Amino acid sequence: MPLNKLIGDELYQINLILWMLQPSKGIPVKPLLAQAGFRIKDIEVELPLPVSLKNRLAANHIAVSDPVTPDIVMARKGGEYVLAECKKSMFGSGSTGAEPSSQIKQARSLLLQIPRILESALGLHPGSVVKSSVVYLSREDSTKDQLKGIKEIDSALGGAGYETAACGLLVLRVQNKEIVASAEQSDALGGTMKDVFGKGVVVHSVQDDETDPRPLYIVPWMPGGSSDSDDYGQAVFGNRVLAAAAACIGLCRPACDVEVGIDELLSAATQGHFKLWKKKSVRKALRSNVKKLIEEVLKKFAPDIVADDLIHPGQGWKISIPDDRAQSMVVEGFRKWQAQKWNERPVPLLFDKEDTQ
Amino acid sequence: MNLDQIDSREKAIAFLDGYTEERKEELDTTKTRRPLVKSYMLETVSRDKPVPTLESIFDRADCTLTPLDQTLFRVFDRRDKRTRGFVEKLVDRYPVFYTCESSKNMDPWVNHLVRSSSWLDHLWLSGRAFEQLMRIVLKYSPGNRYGRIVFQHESFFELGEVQEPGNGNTQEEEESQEPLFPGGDIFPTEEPDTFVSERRSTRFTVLERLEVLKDILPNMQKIYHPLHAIAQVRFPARGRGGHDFYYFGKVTNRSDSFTDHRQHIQFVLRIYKKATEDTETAMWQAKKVRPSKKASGEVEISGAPVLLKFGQQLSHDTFDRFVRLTFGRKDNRFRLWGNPIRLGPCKVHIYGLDRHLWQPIFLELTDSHIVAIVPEGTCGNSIHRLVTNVQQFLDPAVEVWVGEHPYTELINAEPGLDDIYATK
Repeated sequence: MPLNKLIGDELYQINLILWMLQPSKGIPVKPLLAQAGFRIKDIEVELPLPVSLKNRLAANHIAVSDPVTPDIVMARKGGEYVLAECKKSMFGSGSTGAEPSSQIKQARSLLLQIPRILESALGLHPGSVVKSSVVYLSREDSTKDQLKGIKEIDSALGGAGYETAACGLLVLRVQNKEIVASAEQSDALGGTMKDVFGKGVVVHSVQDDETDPRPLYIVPWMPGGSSDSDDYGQAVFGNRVLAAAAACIGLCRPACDVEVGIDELLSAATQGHFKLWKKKSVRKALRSNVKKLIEEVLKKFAPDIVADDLIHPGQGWKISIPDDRAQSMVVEGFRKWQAQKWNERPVPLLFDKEDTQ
Repeated sequence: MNLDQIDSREKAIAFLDGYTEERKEELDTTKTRRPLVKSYMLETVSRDKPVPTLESIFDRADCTLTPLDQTLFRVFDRRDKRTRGFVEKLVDRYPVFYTCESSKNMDPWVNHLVRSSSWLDHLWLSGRAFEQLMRIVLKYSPGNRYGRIVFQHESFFELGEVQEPGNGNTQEEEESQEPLFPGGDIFPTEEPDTFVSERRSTRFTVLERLEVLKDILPNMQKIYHPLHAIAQVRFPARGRGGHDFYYFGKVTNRSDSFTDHRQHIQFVLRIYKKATEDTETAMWQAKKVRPSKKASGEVEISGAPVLLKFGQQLSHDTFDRFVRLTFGRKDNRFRLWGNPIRLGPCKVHIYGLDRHLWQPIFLELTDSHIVAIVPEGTCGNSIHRLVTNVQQFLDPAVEVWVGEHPYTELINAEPGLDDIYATK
């Protein structure tokens, strides 16, 4: 993927922030946020608005996302919290009277996360959050004021009497074949991001023109993200599903039956984030894609292995492993599979409600 | 005494002690032809994980354990129908197997045991770990005692079509060449008439007074990097002789006391246990509750990547062979499982598994470094094994960090009184 396209990729952006938050020697990403004292509090955590605030917003006809799910919540000593949201491109504030977009509703909910609201959403002791702010991360676009939309949303909320958190923008650009982050448009945040990034600092060095610079992905996939067609992201996610399946089989002692649950595979492959992805269409598509992937591998590499459905088709399998040879065949099959093109996009359902299962 | 007749701990220890003394007397007269007592330090599972019984782990390798008490067992090999030795739960998580048979027989036997069970691994002492252990030995042993260090490095991935190094061969070779008396030449004087691969290979022994070793070792390592690849260290025993610790967890008893041998193993295991747990705490990617004065606890996702930085950039060919021979074989020495995703001529990513416990490990391999991300639950031993084998076969001078801390700092801690008084 060309560098300029990569820095606009949300999955890359999220992983870049996660790398910047981990203490390290700066290979492959400089741990600038960790050095500034920030630590990861959570990834894709749901922040519900207090009922009273939500009711008042409804009375004022202000549509919001509830709960809102920022990509990353980070914090440092002294109760300073930052909500980070990654975007391929920034957005406008919408035209008057039109139904606000999901990005606008999300922005409103993020801006409403002043310390008292945020600590309530995180279940923290009152007074734990002293300062809260919102940071968007996006690819630099010097042709326009990328924060204009956010400023208008902020101003509208303020005009309606709501308190809002400070908001800034961290932009990525390619400079001398290196990836640079800049916080020039983050005046509202005060010193925090300005001190760390200023007018631009190299965050990720590129090895050479022939080498894809991506670091290891800690988060392999985001539902509804722009990375669905990215072969690398798909391979990472697919390999992690296959590794989770191989782990189930590898640890068993033949002859035995091994229960392999699809939700368990997805949960292991996403370090538990699958449980947070609430959209029914996303969960349905992922389950179906994993089912197809595992059954294809078994059919190709271990056609004699009996894999019965668990109680309900689509829930998983009870796989019979008769001996060490069969175990080895299945595990090797999972290893050899090329999983670049396995995860088809979810088809939005007509009534795409949250899955309560 | 027939090992099958031993039915109590007292008899087992008395047998091993008596056998040790006899061999030491023979050693002193340079006459011994019977194998020395040797121990193999093993690892089961990482902390807080349910572990199958030792009986069931050994059963997988066709061995039956007969309990002599709650922590010591006699080991009967059902394949050739004979008792091979004893296994003891000496320190929590680390069983130790004692035997009086030769390394030539037992190195492959223990290797088979480990490969038979995903619940077992060797104990891996990297050159970096040995350097730290040497510091402790030098601190507490009289300077006029002799220490022995074996350096071993072979750039297996460098040139020519090579076989992936196996555990057995190197160790068998070591056993057959072990000196019968201190200071003996362990190397054949003539090269055999076979093709000699043109790649770097280092193996030599230094037997020297500890006070001299203390001065010369750091300087020698500065001049010649393969001297970081320490494969064996002799700890002086309390009385005569010493205990030879090998990089794959074997310990040969060259002292006159089995009790002293067992205590030295316990000492090293406690350091190793602490180092492993500290490594796990530092690297595990996990959601943890951090104690807070204000509330019941604040949740935080912690964990740091592990970095192995090569002293010298690998050539393209060496990098390719390393990737191919490691991930193209299921029984590779690194005990890793995964399908490399190629990102460039000298860069791959592996979202794979450690075959010990089948736990996830994510790796970035390039010609200048390896980065590992280790999710919670993956044994810290994975990193010790990776570092040990990289030092032995890829780059002896590799520098290692867990997050921003040098790996060697984690191996520096001596056991505290709590550890010394621990029941396991």
